[in-house]
Amino acid sequence: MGAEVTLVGPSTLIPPGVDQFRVRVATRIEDGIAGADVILLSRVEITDANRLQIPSLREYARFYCLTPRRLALAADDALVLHSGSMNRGVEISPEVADYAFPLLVQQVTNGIAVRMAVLYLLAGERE
Amino acid sequence: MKLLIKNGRVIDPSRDVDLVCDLLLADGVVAACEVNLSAPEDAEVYDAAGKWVVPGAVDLHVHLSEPTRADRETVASLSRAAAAGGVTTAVCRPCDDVSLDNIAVAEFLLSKNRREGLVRLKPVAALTRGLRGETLTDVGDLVTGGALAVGDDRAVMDSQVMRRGLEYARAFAVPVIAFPQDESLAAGGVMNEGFVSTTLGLKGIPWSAEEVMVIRDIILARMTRWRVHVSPVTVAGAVELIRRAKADGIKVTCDTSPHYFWLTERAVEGFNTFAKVSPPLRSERDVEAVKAGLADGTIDAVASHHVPLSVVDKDVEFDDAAFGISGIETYVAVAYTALVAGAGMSPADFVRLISAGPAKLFGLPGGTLAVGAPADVAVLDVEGASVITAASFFSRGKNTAFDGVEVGGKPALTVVGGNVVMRDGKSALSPNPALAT
Repeated sequence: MGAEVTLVGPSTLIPPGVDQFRVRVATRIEDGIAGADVILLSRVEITDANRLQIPSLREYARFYCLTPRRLALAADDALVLHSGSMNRGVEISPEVADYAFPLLVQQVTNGIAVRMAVLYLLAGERE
Repeated sequence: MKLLIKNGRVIDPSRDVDLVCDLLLADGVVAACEVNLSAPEDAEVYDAAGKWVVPGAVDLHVHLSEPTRADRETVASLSRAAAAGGVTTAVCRPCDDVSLDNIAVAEFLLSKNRREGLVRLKPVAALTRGLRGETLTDVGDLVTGGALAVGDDRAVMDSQVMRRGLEYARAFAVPVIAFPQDESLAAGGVMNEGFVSTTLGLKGIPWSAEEVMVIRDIILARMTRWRVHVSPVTVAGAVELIRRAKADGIKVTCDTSPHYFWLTERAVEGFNTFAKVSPPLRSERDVEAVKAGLADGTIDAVASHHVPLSVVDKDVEFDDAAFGISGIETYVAVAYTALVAGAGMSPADFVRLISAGPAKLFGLPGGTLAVGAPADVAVLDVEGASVITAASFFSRGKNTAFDGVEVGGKPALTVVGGNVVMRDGKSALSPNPALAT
């Protein structure tokens, strides 16, 4: 859709070959969000599936948490979105979470409509 | 303080220098290196005629036990031993006593060294929590706290953990140090497996335990495109594997220690627990292969592999004795004797192995006498001979396998940050102010 996408995260979480999607990869959040118009965050928690990829939530937060200082590197008025169910203090700092909250409510509301539409289409869209 | 080291043979492979000249140290750095320097009025003059003047040894492999074990090595005792051994930077590794798996321990050691140390101390952090080989430590946190590399100093048996560790360390630009010994092949072993172990009735550790891990770690280095430093290399096959991997452009480096190219498994005969070390002392053929690897540059560095232990750890049945040799005080002289005096290695290659090479591998201070570089210098007495005497070690570990052995190349002067920390075998008593900042 014309967007330039950068994937940011520890090298252990970067899927092999992802650059073939024409996605730029950064392992430092500062490099990844510089000048970004939109920042889309993912909830981070440690599970059996990824316990070898993230040393600890504290370490993750230290290097990847979106803080006001890091957000300042993005474009002015950059949009902060989240895939849902924030872990405050892990991938998003409480300050940025509060700042982004009104937009996130809208994102969640839109998400309901989009999911409903998808289910409707999949169910066969009959009258 | 200013110090003029006169008439020594200055050997500095970082600049291809090998020349009898004078070296002036001022304000903590190398100020000049020329023939016939006149001494500034306030300079102390040290006559190094007939001796080698080299960048101080950078020892990649030492252990200490502060703060957990009061009877073993402390920061202060390690530092005095290092100074006596011509070491200007000591790299301490994780061990059971000090697991170095969190930033508090790393910062404790660094602050202790600032207050009590004579030589520079740099920590290697653990790769996995509690050295259990299961989950990664907070590598980024530890690196920003001063760790120059990560590695458990024991095998990480789970290959996925090792792979993830390499990937993760790559983002923080620190190499992973791999200890090459497969625990299942080595299980229960106390010495090298072979005729000697059979004769003594001791359980052996086969050469394959090392080669299996070396080849796995080379493969993972290739897969992750990141740096593995194998430490130590002791068997012929491992030297050859690393030689080939380097030729293939894989990011692998390695070190070894003097006991692996001076002593063989026969040193264990008589159940000599001072020759019990991990990995074990190997065969004559392995010793020759390690020497060949040192000569052709396959092996990048010689480290002491200093494991200081107390008498209760060694004065027991062979099976029950702890593994390890106390080496920081003697390894430069032992390596000099084996490689230069014994095998005809060039002075420049020798200095590269003990100083310039290891400094470059890990981006450490020292390793060069270029003007402006830190004034970290060792003066080696290559004309005289001395007898190693364990009882007079500064180290709390008297567990050397070289007691009573005559060596050359004994350090006569050690300077760190421009301050003399050892002269004629006497280590300084007060901490080095150059480390306080």
